[in-house]
Amino acid sequence: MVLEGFALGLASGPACVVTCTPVLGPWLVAERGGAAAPWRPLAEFLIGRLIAYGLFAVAAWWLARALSEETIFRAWIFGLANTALGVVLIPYGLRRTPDRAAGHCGHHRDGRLGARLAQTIPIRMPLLLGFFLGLNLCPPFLLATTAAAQTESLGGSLLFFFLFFLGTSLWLLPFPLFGALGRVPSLAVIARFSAAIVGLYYAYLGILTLGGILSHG
Amino acid sequence: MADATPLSTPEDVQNGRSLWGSLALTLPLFLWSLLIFSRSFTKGAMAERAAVLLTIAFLAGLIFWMMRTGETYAPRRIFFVTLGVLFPVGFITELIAQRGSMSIPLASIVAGDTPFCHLVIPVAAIPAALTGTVFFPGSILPTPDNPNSIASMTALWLGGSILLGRGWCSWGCFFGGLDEGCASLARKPRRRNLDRRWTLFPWAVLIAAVVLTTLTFEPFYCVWLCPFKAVTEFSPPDSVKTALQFVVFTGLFLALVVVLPYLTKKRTQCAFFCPMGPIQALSNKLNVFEVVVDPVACVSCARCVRDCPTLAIAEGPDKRPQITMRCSRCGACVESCTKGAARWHIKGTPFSASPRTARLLFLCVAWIFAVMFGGSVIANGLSKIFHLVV
Repeated sequence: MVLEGFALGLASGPACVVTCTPVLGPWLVAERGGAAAPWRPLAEFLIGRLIAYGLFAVAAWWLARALSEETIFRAWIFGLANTALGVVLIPYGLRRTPDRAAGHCGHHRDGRLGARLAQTIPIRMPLLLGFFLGLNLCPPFLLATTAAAQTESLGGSLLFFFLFFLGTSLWLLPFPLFGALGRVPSLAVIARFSAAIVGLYYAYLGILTLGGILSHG
Repeated sequence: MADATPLSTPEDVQNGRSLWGSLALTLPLFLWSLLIFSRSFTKGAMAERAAVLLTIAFLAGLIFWMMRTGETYAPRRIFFVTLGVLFPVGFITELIAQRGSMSIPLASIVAGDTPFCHLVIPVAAIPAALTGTVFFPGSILPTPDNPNSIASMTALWLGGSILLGRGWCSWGCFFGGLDEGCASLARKPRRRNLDRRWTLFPWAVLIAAVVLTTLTFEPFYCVWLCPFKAVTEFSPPDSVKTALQFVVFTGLFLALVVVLPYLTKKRTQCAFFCPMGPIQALSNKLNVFEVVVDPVACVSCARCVRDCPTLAIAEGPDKRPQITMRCSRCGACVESCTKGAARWHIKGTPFSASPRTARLLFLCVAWIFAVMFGGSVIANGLSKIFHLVV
């Protein structure tokens, strides 16, 4: 069982890279990947994912049948997580890039409502991104949820998800290299815009899912 | 440049030619257009023949205008806007004749009969290189039902890009003419001081479209973002998803191709949104033609910065204009510069080489391509109008 979780995580890694790149990649480029400590944003992102996985491990144990068979429950989580991801990414992407060369150091406060909203969010941005992406129900994750639901104890379910997390995380280790690209100022601007477009897409997915649930009762 | 003498005067850069000289230079391009259209003239019906004759006369007139007066921007703009307007006329008329509407039936999508356009190339090519799959419901090779195949359009675009670099965006792209047309309608810009940060947005559109195409297995830009679906074809808005797509692309068309160009007198779709722009900008690096600024003649009046329709000229730290790789060879800056500082140039030749010769060579290449590609589109649009009228 232990090996199964790790192996499933390793096998699902490429899918995780494809899912995480559109969200984490632009953020790392825009923020220069945490120039002083390049591994920190990835660590925060992974902690966010781990928290989401932990929640799922508990849910899988408590609500095993409901989670694997009740589509509406999955749809709610999927819709809310994607909407939240969009809400986080769009204002972040459209916010003006802090002018480091001019010495503003990113602390200059813009008075506009959108900018103020955006400036309150990115305190632990990678953590939020990791958490909301962790709640995305991709096919390997659903498989892991089903497998974890078959474990008899809460500890077993948590261990399964933790090892699944470890297996997938190995694929994300090269991500801090994205940060180096952010040293080119125009690339940082492009990365922010990309984050906004990706955010729009996730918001659309989320709103469409929630709209579908509400319209069908 | 050591003696700080300007390399060229406004007369060197912009002066035209004698009547006979202009006619002599127009003749080869006129013969080229006769060759290109000979088949459609001999095999076409009355309306096609009339359209071909009018197209040949129209193109020859513009070429002669360029040679005689030394102007590039105004005649090119007339050609480009005509191309932009007549492409949807020809395309939509054909769709209506074949399908009865502008919407693509599901059967055509499944059969791979969706026409491929150049705007999808970068968005489809990168995921195709990564995954070995082209995420577009078209056919690789031309078929009787779909002559605009992936291979033929890509080959055409590749040829145009090698010949013209980002000049493709001002001489070949049948969509760019629409926003240039709307930009031309206003006498003066109502909005100035545009945030130049947005000129990087096309890169973001390109990156996001490539990633989301790979992630969703569908041509994301085509399905969601392309404003020109409003003047070509689209999925019928019969579900929440397709209705939303309809709202998005119609909104983008109105905003980027109609309203913003009118308000700013800039080609906003080309400058701020098109994912093809970044790839074309890179192709400028391979292309031999360029527009340069003579630093001695330049008086830093920033007129060229103000007049560039795609915001491709930036003001450097020393207030001198810097022509970026986004230049689409439209000729606006060369004509707006009263000092003759902005000039055509061929890479690898001395900076002091004659700008008139560089311009002439560029125009020959540009017109050879424009007659072949754009001329056919114009003739097709005109023949559809003649069919409708007569």
